[in-house]
Amino acid sequence: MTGRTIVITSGKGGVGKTTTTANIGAGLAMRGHRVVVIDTDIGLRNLDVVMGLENRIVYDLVDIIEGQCKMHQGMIRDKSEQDLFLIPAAQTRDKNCINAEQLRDLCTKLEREFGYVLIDCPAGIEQGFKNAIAAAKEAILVTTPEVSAIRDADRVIGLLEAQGLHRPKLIINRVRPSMVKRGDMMDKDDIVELLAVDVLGMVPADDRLIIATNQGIPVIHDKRAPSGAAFSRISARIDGDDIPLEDLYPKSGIMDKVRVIMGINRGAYSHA
Amino acid sequence: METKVVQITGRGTNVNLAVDDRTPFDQVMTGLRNHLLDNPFLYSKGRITVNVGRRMLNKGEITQIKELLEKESGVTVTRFWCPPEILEAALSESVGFGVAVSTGEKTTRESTIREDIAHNDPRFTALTRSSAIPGPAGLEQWEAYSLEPPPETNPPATVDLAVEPAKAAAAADPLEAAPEPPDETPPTRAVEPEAGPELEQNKLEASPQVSDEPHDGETQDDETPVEPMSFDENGIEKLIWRDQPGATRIEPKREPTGLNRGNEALLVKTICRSGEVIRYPGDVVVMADVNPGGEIIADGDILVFGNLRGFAHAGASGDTQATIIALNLDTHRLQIGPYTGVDPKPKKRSKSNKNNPRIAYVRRSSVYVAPYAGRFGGYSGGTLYDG
Repeated sequence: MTGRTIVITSGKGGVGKTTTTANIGAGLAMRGHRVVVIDTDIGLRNLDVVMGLENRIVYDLVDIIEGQCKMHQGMIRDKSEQDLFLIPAAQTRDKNCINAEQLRDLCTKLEREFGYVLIDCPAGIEQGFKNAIAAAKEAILVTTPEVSAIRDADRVIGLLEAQGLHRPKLIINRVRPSMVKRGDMMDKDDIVELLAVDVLGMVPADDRLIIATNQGIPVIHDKRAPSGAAFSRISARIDGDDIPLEDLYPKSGIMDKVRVIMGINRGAYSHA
Repeated sequence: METKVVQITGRGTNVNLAVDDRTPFDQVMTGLRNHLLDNPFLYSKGRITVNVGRRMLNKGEITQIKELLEKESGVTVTRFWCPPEILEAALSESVGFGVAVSTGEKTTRESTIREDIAHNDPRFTALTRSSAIPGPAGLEQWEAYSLEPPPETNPPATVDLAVEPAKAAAAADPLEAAPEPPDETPPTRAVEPEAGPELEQNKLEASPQVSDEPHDGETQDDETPVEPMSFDENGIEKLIWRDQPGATRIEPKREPTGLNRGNEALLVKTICRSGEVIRYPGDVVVMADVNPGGEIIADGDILVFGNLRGFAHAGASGDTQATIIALNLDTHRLQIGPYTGVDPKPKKRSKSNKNNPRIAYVRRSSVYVAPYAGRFGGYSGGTLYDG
């Protein structure tokens, strides 16, 4: 089996990388793939908490890389998905205790056993980021419809392309359809125009996601959550299904159409 | 160690190489050599200014530095420089220079030939060399010649050598090499002649018009009867005597812009994203967008077939005739030559397809932006970008 190693990154912190990683991992596992998610945010590990596996951690990524445990000992099986595994980050170490080659070697080994290796990238563009993207063959970029997040995403795309990770896929997180409709939030088209990358999916802002995250259950298991449905579709698109992008904010009324035609629902944000 | 000993400031045509002034000289030389060997691509051609800091170098050391620089790299050392107050202090003390210049009396000190730069007026840099010729007849001599004022565009003092890897790989050579200044008179050659006997002919050259130079007196050097001479075959201004009646500062004549600029343009086919800097000593054509945070710095014109939302600096070597043309000129800040333009009223973001191409140009020392009307549009109006 030759798996795909995908890094999930954003540049800016707090846009939902870890949540996205957990949900995509669960979504791909639900589709029958063997998936391992790696938390590379050493020193600030979160992915285990989001997946609800915090109290099962015995060994971590640094232990595996340093050879203090076997690879399988360091992998934690998910609570609900049999084929989803987590390699948690070390909490008491720092990002410099592993390097890019070590992580790349680990991912190469994992690719032989797993269909998908998802790397949760730390925020920023420092060493941890460089380690994470060096190991990956593909990249998924998470952003929110905010000018600052998009600016950082733009920078990160440049760095990814410099590393040979061309055309990263974009996930727009925390979209508020009502605000977009009013023109107070950036539209998908605005973001795509600036970043010039393909959109993998849009995740609406969802209270259920926050609840699920706090409970340690990926929201993709919540059948009633719109964000969970969005993550399901994103997982399917990663897996190769051709699902058209959902229209989170249908412009139904005739006045909406008039506004679109006249281009006057450009809103408060300026100069992305 | 190397990074401490040798520091590089400036960019483009005005690269300064600063050597640490406390380290022993041999360590400086080692550090400089290592630095050159480590960064061979940085110095493929161009002129360079060596800042010696507070150090007083003697002639042999300066020759060593110059030879090392020119052997290990393709640059030409044009000036040595030190802070003006250091030079003044050294001159007034008459210590270490072997000169007692103000009275014009002979000096019989041992052969400490020191070189330094007078840097009295930031607009007017000149090289000063003091020399004491060994022997009883050693006289010092002052020569002065004018030098062009530094280019009006004073780039930021720190050069961003860490160019984005992708772009740097594509354009490292033309960008990183200190390019030939296309439209300005070459800086004064301030280094020693190669021939040995000529080495004795060190002049003390000072900026002629500067009065705060502590030593105005001048004596003839009988050992080296020097005529005011054309100092360089490359169009360097002639030397003029400081007390020569009617000696005036020679204004360097600017060559017509656009003539010396190469015909080759850099074609950028990828988006210039945030954090990426594209520098090129010629024209730059971007066939994609320039995103916020990206920078295009060109010595010539800049054309953007897309949205220009980052920073663009045309005529970075001082050419005020350069223009910036973009299909959607949507940036807050522009620069053409030394003139910065800031969008007076940044509008709300607009779709690119609604904008007509616009051109930014300089008129009366201000940056204007007008709808693009062809190469010879005779632009006279437009929006004043008065930042």
